[in-house]
Amino acid sequence: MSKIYNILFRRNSVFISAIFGAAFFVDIGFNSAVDKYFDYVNQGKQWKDIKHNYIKSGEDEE
Amino acid sequence: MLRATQRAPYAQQAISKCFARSFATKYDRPVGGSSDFQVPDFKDDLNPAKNGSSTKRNLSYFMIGSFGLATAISARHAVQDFLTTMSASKDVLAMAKVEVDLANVPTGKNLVVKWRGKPVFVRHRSDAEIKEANSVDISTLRDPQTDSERVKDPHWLVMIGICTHLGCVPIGDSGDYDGWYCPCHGSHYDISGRIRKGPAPTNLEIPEYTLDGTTLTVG
Repeated sequence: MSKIYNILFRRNSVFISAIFGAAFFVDIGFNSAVDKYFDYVNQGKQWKDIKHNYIKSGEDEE
Repeated sequence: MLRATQRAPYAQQAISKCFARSFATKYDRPVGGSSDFQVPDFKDDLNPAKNGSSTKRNLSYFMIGSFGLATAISARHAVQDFLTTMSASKDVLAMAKVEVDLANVPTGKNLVVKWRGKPVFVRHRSDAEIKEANSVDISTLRDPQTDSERVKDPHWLVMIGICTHLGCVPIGDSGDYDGWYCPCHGSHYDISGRIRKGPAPTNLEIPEYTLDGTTLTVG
């Protein structure tokens, strides 16, 4: 336990950098996790799921 | 406060002693307080072996860090949300582009397209014109630019049709250099849209565009 303290918390500079570094990755991870969950809940309802019914491949998407 | 364990042992003892003595003599109860008042015992708090638990300390720091992390994330999103209010929305961006099919423009002809309220000149240049544009010694130019800097495909010259002098629209296929001629103050542009004669300070501006086969997208 004191190992964690000595590595992470002892120096404020390290502590702060760790917070910001973790914030960066947690933010990305959280967003992608929520997006995945949203896609899972709305399976088959979104445009990207039904697009192939309307647009043949090779055609312009717009 | 969380560094109690780092204190030198003699300091600990001194403090404990100090507390012990003062509680024992003068301050064993509040002034005017009842005689059965019990002075709280701070011995455990001053004992490094008992209060210096690293689990507790780590938990404290962990909580501080977690709240810091949450704050950092929300601050980032607040700033980002604010900045997105300043960017153009998708419908505006879609309107800001112009798509032109160039298949029907014969060699040696000009096409004028309106883009963001401005005319855009598109010229299908012949090989002779390309050669002419490349034969100019750029050190003699007012705004030195090679022809290859101004075009993506040498056969298609795309530029904004606004005279860089005072903003008139130059006339195509005219002027001393067989390019564009601005009737307002007599600026002559060559077949690459470069200023050659007259008051205009710079070459005709090149917009951002992409050429995909015969499809030109300006913007």
